[in-house]
Amino acid sequence: MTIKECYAQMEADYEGVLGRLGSDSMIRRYLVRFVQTDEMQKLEQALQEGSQENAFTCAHNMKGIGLNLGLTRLFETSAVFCDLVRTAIPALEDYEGELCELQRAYQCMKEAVNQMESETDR
Amino acid sequence: MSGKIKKLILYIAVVLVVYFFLYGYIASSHNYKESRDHLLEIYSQMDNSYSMLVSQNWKMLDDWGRMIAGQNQEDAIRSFVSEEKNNWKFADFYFLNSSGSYVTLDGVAGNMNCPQFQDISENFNDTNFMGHVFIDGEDMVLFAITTDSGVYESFGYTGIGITYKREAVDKLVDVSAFHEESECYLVYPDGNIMFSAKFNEWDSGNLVTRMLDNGRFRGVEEEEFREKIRGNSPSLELYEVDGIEYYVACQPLSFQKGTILGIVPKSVINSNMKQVRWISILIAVLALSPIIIGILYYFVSWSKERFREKDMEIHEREVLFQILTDQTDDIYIIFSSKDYRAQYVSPNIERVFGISVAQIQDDVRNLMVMTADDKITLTGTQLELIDIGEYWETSRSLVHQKTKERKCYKEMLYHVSDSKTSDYIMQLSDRTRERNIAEQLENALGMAKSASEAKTTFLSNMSHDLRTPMNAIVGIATLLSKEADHPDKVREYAKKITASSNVLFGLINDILDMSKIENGKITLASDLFSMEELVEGVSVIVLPQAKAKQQQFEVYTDGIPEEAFIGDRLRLQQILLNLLSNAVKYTPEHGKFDLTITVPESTGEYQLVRFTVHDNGIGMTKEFQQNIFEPFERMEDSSRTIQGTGLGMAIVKNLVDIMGGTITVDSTLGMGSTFTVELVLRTKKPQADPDFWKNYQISRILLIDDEEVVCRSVQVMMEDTGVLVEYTTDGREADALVEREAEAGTPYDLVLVDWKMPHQDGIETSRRIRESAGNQLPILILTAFDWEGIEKEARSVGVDGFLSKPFLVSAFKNSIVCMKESELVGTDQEEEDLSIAGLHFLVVEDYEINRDILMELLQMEGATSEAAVNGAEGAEMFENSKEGHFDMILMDVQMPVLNGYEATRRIRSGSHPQSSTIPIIAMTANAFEEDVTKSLESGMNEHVAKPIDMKVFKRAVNRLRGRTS
Repeated sequence: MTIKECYAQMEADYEGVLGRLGSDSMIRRYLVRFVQTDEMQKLEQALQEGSQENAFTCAHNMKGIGLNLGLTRLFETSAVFCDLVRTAIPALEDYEGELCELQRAYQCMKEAVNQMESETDR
Repeated sequence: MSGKIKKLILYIAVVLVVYFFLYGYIASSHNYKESRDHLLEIYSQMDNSYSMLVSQNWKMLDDWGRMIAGQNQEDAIRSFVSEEKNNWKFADFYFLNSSGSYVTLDGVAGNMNCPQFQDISENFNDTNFMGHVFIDGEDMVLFAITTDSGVYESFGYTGIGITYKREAVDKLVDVSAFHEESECYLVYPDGNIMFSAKFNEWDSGNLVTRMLDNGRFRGVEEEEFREKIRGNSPSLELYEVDGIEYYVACQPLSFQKGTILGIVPKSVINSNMKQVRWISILIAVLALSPIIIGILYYFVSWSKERFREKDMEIHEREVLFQILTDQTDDIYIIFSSKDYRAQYVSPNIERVFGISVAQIQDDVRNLMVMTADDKITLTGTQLELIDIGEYWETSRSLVHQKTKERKCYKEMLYHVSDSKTSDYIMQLSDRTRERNIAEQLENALGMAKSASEAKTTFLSNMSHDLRTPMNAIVGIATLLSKEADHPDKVREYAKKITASSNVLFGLINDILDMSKIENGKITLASDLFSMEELVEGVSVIVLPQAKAKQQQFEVYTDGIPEEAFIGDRLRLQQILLNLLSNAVKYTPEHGKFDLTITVPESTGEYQLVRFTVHDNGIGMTKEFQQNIFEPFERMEDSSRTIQGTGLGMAIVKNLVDIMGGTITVDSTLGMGSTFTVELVLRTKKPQADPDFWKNYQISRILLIDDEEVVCRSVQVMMEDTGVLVEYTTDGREADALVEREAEAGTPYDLVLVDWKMPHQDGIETSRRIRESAGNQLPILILTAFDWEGIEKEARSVGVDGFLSKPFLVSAFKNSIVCMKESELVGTDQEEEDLSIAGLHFLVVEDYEINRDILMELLQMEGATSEAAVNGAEGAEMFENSKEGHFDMILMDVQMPVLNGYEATRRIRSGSHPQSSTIPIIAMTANAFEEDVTKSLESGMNEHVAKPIDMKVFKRAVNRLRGRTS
């Protein structure tokens, strides 16, 4: 699986990111690194602990990397979530749906990246 | 000296006194025994001395006696004895008989003239003899022994003897114990004196009888004493003469029957003993004193050290307490309810209340001078009401005695007590902020309540306003269907529907605007405009309305600077229009109103601009003036006759607030009203750029707008620029026109398209032009509305930019600059000029991966960078850097610890030589206008949207470099 196919699979903006970062290897390097840091898991933990500051930082980081790596869906869902937790963590029912969207986007991205990595390893 | 040292010294003294007392007691209790042993030993030694002397002489006499007995020749005896006399240095030699008669060696006869001799002679046959004799008036000591009877010089003798001079014997036997204060006698068993060591004159008689005559024995009877003298064991008795006590030691003689009697004053012995005791005490003291001094020294230095430590500790605590009270505004006072004197007053009281510590120490009730209200609390009865260990809480307003500042304090009175005293602790802490917050919350609640009430009122009012046109539309629509066959009727009805719809539309617009403002969703743009343009834009709309009511409308704009102002032109226009259309509404026909714009104050690039709208209309009551800016308020009488939502003034008020300005109203019922709006606006010196149009290669443009008036006015405004403006009022013709001119070799340099046009709107027109003219021709959309709603669509059909209506040259120029900049993206030829190689950046970004991407991208461009993970670190790194170390700072906005805005403010206000000049580029994901405004306000120079595109970024960098160079 090429980077381009990977981006296609996760409905992300390959052309845009290539235009900015210039090479597949660089995109790939940061993509893999992002998956490894597992911001999603950190976000879930922050929500569990009720730490608004950490939750916001995680969501903000995902939004930032979503923009930078052209992960359109992740950017959009995390941007929405970012606004939700900007000042305080609302009641669960008030963010459940948005979190679910974000988790799906993240999962989709993660699966695509992992698939690309495992294929390359072979 | 401390109590501890005193105690220790006292303790040592007590121990010493007890020791000496015990020593004295034990010593005196042993006095008798000691004295006895001591004396008896002395006299026992004396007995030994006598014994040796006597037995030696007796032995010699014994030898000589045998020698003499064996010699018949008297001459031989004479020469032998003479020789021995020389050898032994005795005084004389005697041949004796038992009656005391003697004959000397030289044949001189005589009698031992001594009463005692009789006594001696009685025993002469049995024993040897030693004792005093008196010969020729001289006191001599005689040693004699019995011999076999013999005759010398015709004298029949039974013994021989030698005499010594008294001094010679005394030399041999030391009897002068106790510094001659004692007396010593050798007595026979019957008490008669055998030998007295004391005096030179003849001493005889019975010693015991004499002693009894002179004094008395103590603890012993005469007979008992005589018995002791006769006995064989030594003893010590007490004897007293004229109140002076003596010890009498009885030591039996070992060489013949008799006793040594030593008579010694008790005081001599005791003084001796006392001396010994004192010496021993002195020695003990001398021996102990180094130890005592050592202990004392150690203890003193130890306690000094302890005192020093304690002092330090106290000092440290005081410093801590000082810090506590210095740094906080809480006041602590400890006082007694008895006299109201304060034992402790925290020193910050002078700072916090402007009242001196001494004043409060004197009488804590002096605090009451500061009370703003008249509540007096420090009365004895009130204090007594507080149980020990409990506290009483109140809040009070206190006035600073110097600044007269009034603040709200919480007062806590604690009743504390130990066994002796009953004290109170007063704590005063500033609660002004909390009080204010509470008040604000209360006010906010009140406002929320009244706002909600107003909305309810509004809804019921609005139901009338909204229903009226709506009812009309519904009713006419019903009529319309009935009269469908009559075109004239249909046209009339359609006209009425349009009119009612317009009214409804206006109402809805106002309501939406208000809700936008109330939700805080409104953002201000930073347009560049001149006052003239603003006035023109307003006048164009107001003049026709005024004309319709035959009102007189004047505009005065004296002394307004020519500079361009920066602000939200559309919103400012909205404010003025609302005020002016109110003037139109509330001024009767043939009335007059005016708009005056002045600049009363200007500081540097900021100008205080005053807009005054004055009319001679119906005016307002004082009560209404107070509520005029509340939403949904309308004058009761007018609500039925004059159309409106009652939102206009609320919108004006809110917009003015958002812009940081003020609005006031002054009105008299029936006399007219005056509204004054004051705003501070930034100005920008007009940039004289005569070559602007040449530089952007614009000499001929096409304007497409359905309103010919607009087209003509644009032509007029553009006259000075040298740009030729051609126009068409029909969008459908535009694409053909553009194509034709291009083919003719005179292509347009730019096309301006109005958005709202009949037949074919601006979007469709643009699409068609783009199709026929290709990508090179710039197309701008002219619109009176927010273009956010149509931007996406417009961009998709190839529109390059937007321009707000009414048309202004300056805004047009801005749009061209913006458009050209975004167009430049991707043009390779400029790439080289934009190089950022060699620059050193400070990258301030909290998210590691984004930071690394950015730094890698910078590295790829040949630039170097250092990273900071938040605003605080970024500001610090810059502050500590050498001058010229960093060329630029890239600042993320949303960051933990310190965000980008704050970090920029910190950098700008820092002491680094480049603090005001270092270019700072903001990076945000939300490229909204407000972000740009905010970042520029905080002191950043440029704004680049995330994700960072190096081409855009490099252009921003070069803009900055151009500006700074």
